[in-house]
Amino acid sequence: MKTILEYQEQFKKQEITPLSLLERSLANINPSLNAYITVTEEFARKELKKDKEGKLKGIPIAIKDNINIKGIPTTCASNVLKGFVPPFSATVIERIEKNGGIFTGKTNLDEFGMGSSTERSFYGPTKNPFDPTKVPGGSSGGSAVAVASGSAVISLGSDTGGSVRQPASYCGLVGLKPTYGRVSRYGLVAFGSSLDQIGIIGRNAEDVEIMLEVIAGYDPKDSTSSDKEVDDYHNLEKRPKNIKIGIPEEYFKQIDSEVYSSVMEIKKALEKENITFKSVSLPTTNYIIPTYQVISYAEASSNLARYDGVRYGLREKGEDFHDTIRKSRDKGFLPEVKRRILVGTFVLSSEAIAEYYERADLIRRLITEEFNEVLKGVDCLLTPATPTTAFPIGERTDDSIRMHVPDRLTAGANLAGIPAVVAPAGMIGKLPIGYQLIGRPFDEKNLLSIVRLVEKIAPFKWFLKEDKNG
Amino acid sequence: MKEVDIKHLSKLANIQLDKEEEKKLQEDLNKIIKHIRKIQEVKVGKTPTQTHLHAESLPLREDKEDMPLSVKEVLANTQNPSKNHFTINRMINEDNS
Repeated sequence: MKTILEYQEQFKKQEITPLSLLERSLANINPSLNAYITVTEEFARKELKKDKEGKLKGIPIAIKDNINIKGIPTTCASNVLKGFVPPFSATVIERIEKNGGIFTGKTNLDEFGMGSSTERSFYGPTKNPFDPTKVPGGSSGGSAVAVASGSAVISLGSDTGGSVRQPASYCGLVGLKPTYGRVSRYGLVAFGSSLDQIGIIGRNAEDVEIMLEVIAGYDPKDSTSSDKEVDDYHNLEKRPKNIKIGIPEEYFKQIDSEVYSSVMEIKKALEKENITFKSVSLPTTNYIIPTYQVISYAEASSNLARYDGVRYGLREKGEDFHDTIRKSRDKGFLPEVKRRILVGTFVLSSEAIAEYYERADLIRRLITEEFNEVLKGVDCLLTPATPTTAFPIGERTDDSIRMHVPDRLTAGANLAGIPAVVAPAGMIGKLPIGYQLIGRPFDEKNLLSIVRLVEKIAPFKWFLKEDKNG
Repeated sequence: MKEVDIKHLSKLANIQLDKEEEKKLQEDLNKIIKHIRKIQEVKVGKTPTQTHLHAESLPLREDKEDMPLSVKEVLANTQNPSKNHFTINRMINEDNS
């Protein structure tokens, strides 16, 4: 399993060409895993001919199908966007293209990013390459499976409550949710606008650092993007020293004992490297899921109001204008999206807004303050990424509340807008499990430095499956 | 806790539901709302609301005209466009007109 820099070294030595790497990657696509909604082979071959130089030169990259690539359908795994071909590319796509990256395709997701399993897709479920009877996590499951099964070297997903990090945990990968505002969201289809952030899924910290350098930074087209200077993430110098990591006790409750042991192994290994640990408490943790549900459902109900079949997407025949819209939306959305739109509509309705939405907004403030306060005393927090390994396909499909259970460990970082990274903590049986580091705003470099250190000293045998790329 | 009025909500959300869906979603929504009511336990005191997470570094873009999409591009994804317009079906029933 090679890194971006190793592949590029091979290009220089003419041991392989970008074309041969692309062809081998495309050959690794396993249709039975259903990672892709659209494979963009023809588009990729055309791009390769342009022979662009840059940090991602010749690297096959998979893109979650809620991020626009001009001229390639964006479906968001929804029937409501049937036939939609975006007339513009997302800013992250333009930046990757400028740096020579090559797109293998658009990957499967839970419809509009609403789920933790990539089962709730109009295009069918994606399967975990370690065990096809299990989910790959979600909602960026297709992007994780593309990387884990060797059809892409790295991929982009989006993370509203853990959608990049959960699949990274279930598929043995590194998944980064950057700070809110670090990466432009222009061209990302909106789900929960105060929570959404484009994230990266890769095989190792170094690849993620390189991708972050390419896509991070101010974009005038996204008014929520920050103009804070972009770190030289990949620079090995100026790595942090005297690191102190917090262990939030609430994050270690209601998790499998084997998950607990795996994360403790990471802690022990880091202690040997003179990293110190401190117990900390985040008492609002128990309110993360309901707060996240109220805010994200409210924002979803507003964001998804645009799907009316008039300007794009599915249009059903109706008796009049309003009937057409109602029928188009009924045919277009799967049950989970309807549930979230309806609950979102309820919490924003005049009789319920004070009790639900406004209250959740205040609790969000408390959660954010709690994180900020705790992070004054430590550099970052170490937690499990998910309470269990990947669960069976079909187990939670129709149970909205149970599907949200893993979000307890990940959605806090979205509510507080802070960065978090998940990376492999070993295997439990034949399934991978991840640990999570949650950091201060714009401190992605330190988080990824610690992941690099773990990669070097990890007490478990590195387990990623070998792909045909060698 | 008052039951949610699914008919009213589906009208507000512009989603047509058949009888079976209505029944199922009514049950689901009651369960979800019971679950999210947990937030009522939190003492929020006089917490101010937050407008943005990292507001200190958000510049406004320069107020200048950029190259817009062409009409052709804008209409490329709609059904039955008419010249430079989107088309929709009748908004006012003949009985009301």
